[in-house]
Amino acid sequence: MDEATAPEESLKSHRTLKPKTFLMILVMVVCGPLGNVLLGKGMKHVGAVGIWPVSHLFSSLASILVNPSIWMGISSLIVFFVAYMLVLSWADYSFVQPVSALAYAVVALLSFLVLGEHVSPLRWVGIAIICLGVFVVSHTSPQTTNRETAGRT
Amino acid sequence: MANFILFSVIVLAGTGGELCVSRAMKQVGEATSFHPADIIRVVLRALHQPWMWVGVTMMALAFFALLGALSRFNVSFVVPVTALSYIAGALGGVIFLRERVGFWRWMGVLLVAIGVTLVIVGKS
Repeated sequence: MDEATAPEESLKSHRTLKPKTFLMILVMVVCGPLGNVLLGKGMKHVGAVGIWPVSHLFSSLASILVNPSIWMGISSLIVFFVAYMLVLSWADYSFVQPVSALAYAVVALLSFLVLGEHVSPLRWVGIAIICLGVFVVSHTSPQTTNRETAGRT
Repeated sequence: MANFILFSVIVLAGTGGELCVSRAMKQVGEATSFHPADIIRVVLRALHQPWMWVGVTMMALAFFALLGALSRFNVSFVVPVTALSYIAGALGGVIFLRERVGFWRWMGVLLVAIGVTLVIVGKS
């Protein structure tokens, strides 16, 4: 690569949202809420966790460890966190944090479409404003700081 | 007073924790591919960053503080916490991470904060 154009090229590539960043943000906004819901569902099934006497703690732990919802929830949250780390390696925190608010839209859409729950008009208005905000943020440069690559070198 | 401390801990530790994780990832550098070996390498490298552990600890602290707050107050407590977190996050990005937040990103952050507030109010 030409030395003179290389820095400019790399700078230019950070001015637009890359497909890989977009893809991982999608993974984040789906897996994050999904993990929370699954974990919540599992813990509701387990019931109040007793810590004393110790036998209660052990029986609670045992029922947590055999609960499939809890394992799926934890897996989903791990996927979320790895996607979060990858996205933060490519983009600013001040870019990723507001854009992640799309999770609120995902939750409302899923509870409306999958669970058939009622979503109040105020909540739809909020989601529209979130989407507008995300649209505005996503048109700013995703990365404004310089960093190395963690590549195979 | 106790409420105010709890409130501050949730906002500061929650946002602060994410900022620290973000700082760690800036030190790690850009992940280059989706190859599992590459992803594992990036995650392992992140686990060697002190900021990563500071961040995860703060996020855990904020999580338990939030659980405590929710057991004492109702959900309306979450509204100002969440809205303020977006403002604190952008400020932290500028101060702690030296990110450049221009006019349009600020506008977007404000819109998101307003939208999230309406969503939470509309849910309860």
